[in-house]
Amino acid sequence: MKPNSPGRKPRIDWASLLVDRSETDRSALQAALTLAHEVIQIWDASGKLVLANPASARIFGHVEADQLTQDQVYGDCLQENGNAYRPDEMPVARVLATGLPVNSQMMTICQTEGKAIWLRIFGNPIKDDSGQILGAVITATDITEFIEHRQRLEYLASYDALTQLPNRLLLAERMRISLARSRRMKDMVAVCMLDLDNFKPVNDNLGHKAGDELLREVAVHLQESIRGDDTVARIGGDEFALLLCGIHKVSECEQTLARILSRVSQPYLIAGQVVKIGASAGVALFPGDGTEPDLLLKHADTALYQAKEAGKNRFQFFDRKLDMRLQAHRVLLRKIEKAIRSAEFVLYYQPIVDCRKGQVESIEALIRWRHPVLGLLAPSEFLPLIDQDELSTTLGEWVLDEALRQIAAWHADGIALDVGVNISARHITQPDFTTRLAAKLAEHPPEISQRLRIDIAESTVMADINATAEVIRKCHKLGLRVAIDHFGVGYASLLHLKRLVADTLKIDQSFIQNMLDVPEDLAIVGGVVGFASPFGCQVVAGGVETIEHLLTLLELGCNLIQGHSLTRPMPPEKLAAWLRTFQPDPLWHLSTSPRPSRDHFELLLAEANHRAWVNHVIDLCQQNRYIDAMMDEQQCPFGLWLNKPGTQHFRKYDEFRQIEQHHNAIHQIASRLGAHHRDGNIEQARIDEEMLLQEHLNLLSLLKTMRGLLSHKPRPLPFKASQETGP
Amino acid sequence: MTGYEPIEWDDSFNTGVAEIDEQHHILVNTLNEANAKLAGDVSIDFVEEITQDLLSYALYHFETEEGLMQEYGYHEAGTGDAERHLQQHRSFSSRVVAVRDNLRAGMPISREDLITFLNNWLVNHILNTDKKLGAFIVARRAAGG
Repeated sequence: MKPNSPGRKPRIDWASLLVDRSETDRSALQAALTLAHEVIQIWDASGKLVLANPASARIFGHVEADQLTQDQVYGDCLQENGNAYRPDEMPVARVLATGLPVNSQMMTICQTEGKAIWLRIFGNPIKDDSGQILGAVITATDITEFIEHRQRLEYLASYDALTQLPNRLLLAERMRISLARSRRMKDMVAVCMLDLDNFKPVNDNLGHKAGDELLREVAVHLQESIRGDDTVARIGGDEFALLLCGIHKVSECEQTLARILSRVSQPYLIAGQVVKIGASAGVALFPGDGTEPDLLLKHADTALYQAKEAGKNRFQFFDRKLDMRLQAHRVLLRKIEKAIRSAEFVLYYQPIVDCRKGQVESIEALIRWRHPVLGLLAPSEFLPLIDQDELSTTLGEWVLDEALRQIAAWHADGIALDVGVNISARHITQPDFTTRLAAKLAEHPPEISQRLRIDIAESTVMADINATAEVIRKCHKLGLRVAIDHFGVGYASLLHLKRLVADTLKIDQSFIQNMLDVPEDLAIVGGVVGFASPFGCQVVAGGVETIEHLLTLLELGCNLIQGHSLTRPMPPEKLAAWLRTFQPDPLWHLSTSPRPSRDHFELLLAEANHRAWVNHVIDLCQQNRYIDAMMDEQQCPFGLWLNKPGTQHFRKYDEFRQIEQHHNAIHQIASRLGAHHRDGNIEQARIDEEMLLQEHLNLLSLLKTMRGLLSHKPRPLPFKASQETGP
Repeated sequence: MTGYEPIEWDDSFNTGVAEIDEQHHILVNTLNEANAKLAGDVSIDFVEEITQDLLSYALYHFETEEGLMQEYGYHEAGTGDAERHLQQHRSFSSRVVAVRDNLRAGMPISREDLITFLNNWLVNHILNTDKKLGAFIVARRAAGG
């Protein structure tokens, strides 16, 4: 290396580069430089251009390379960020000053008509052996096409092609910026999701082109109703998102949204037709409802859903408590889904007994959830949660499979009984319900498959009577029996009953449970039993809890009994044991009539009336609300019955006259009881209450004797009578 | 009957167990919402929706409480409180469903009963049963460090 003497300007004999060469060499170099699409420039150490190829002349617009300065060549150029260059920032100056290369620097030359040329610049120093900088080589590539293409792609990626609104991607970017600014300014940002109400019909009726035009118009309206700092983006279909910035009070946001919704719902002229459309919006506020963009959008979406649910054409703010509830609900649904897979559901079975024949008639399958934390759950705890959900069908399918499996298992053990399964409304309205059912049945021989009984709630039947009638018809074709459950509470009329041709009516438990106290319920039970048989229906009474209920039902002619008075629902292995040891209760013979006569029924009804009145009086006395008007023994329901002309034919019985005396006595005791409570004489009141109940029992017993007298000759009972039942 | 009065949260409702209290807030909120909705003349669909919301959140909440009972050995304490507590949980949904079914059957008088029953149930349950559990858990947590 040869050291340079200080102060001596390094020189390069530029002429020799091109001149001191053979003609061939020079031509070759010239040809190469001329051909190159890249700009190639050679600068000397003093910053003068000494050599440039035609590409350089074309792009920078100079004629002769000779002695131009960098200002003259690069004067119109801007940096990548759009700023002008300071002289020392220009590539030539930088290379000469630092002796270091410049790599891939971007630069634009703005031409007239706003068109820009983009260049990628490389620069390298020219040094002698000692490292002295002799000059610089600069190359530049025209990358305008590439940059324009990239900008186009960026635009396409950030804007919605139909409406020219920002899309989800750009929305995310704008949100990031808005939230950051709001953090600094300590104000709020409203993140709104907006969705057109009933957009689909417009699309369907006027066509997709009209639908697109409407979306474009809506986009214009939205854009016009927000401020410059705000953003409206289209994020899919007829869904838009809005960012409203700089909010200080919730009321500001409310006003803005009201304005936007009213603007959007102004009529549009689309394809020559006036189209009106509304919109719903859900709003989440930063920072109150969340600080992360994704969460805010999710919460706004939840609020939008609520706005839709609440009746559309409105906006709704995100409600955290409501959201937590919805989340809890989703968690539960997932758990139920998992519980089906991991066999946490089980079927319990409850027998239905024909108490007149003393035989088990059939079995009802009842679902239970063996919950890992909560233990054994009754259907009322989980079925209502899924009755709007697809899961109720999945669970229903499982119940059918499991019941069939159990029937087959019992069949192998010699137990041959029909098993009723409850089918939910959602399940039975699946279009392929009977097809799937048929496939399940086909997996078993008829002696098993035809043991299945389909129980449908009356309310389900009435929700779509035509569809259910069809399902019932198909079930019959498959050889299955069908029961209508909870009968009496679902508004079915006799006309419907004629069409439904169900095999069994199961009277709703509420009537059974109340029939001893509520005369109207007793009348309903009696009525159902009366009209069922002409229709060829069996009647089952469910929810029979006491022997008293059971005997009354037998007297009404309802022989098929299910309920706690017989046994609670139990797991299948226990049921097998229960069936083995089952014995008819001798008490069942005590019922006096196999089929009630009119008189018989009237006595039952009178008894229910009296029972209700006594309970009522005792309640009133205890609450100190007894009034003397109740003392009148002619005015209570039982008194009215005693004295009406139609009852007088009972007078031929001694018991009837005794009943009248007991009835009078009861009213006198009741009056005393009321007075004692009023005077705070609790001790005496207690004695009176006991007397009242005793008289009441005496009266009931007389009524029962009379019923026995009316059905002179009970029909012989089919099972072996116990001793106390006479011939 | 003051069936239509909303329940106002006061500090006496706090059990001292944060997760339980938070859920109680939501339950009270749900009830008050149901209360407000049912005060108007409403359809059976509304009642269905409200009872579903309520049953759903109640089950979720019961699982939290009963999970905590197991975690802290409430049953092993042998006071009978755990059994009574579970009994109240188990009867809750059957009562709600029974009232809902009555409403389905067109007995509007039960609407007031529903609200009264729910309000009483919740307030009594929180004030008595849950606070006992809360005190138990707080003591266990303190003992455990």
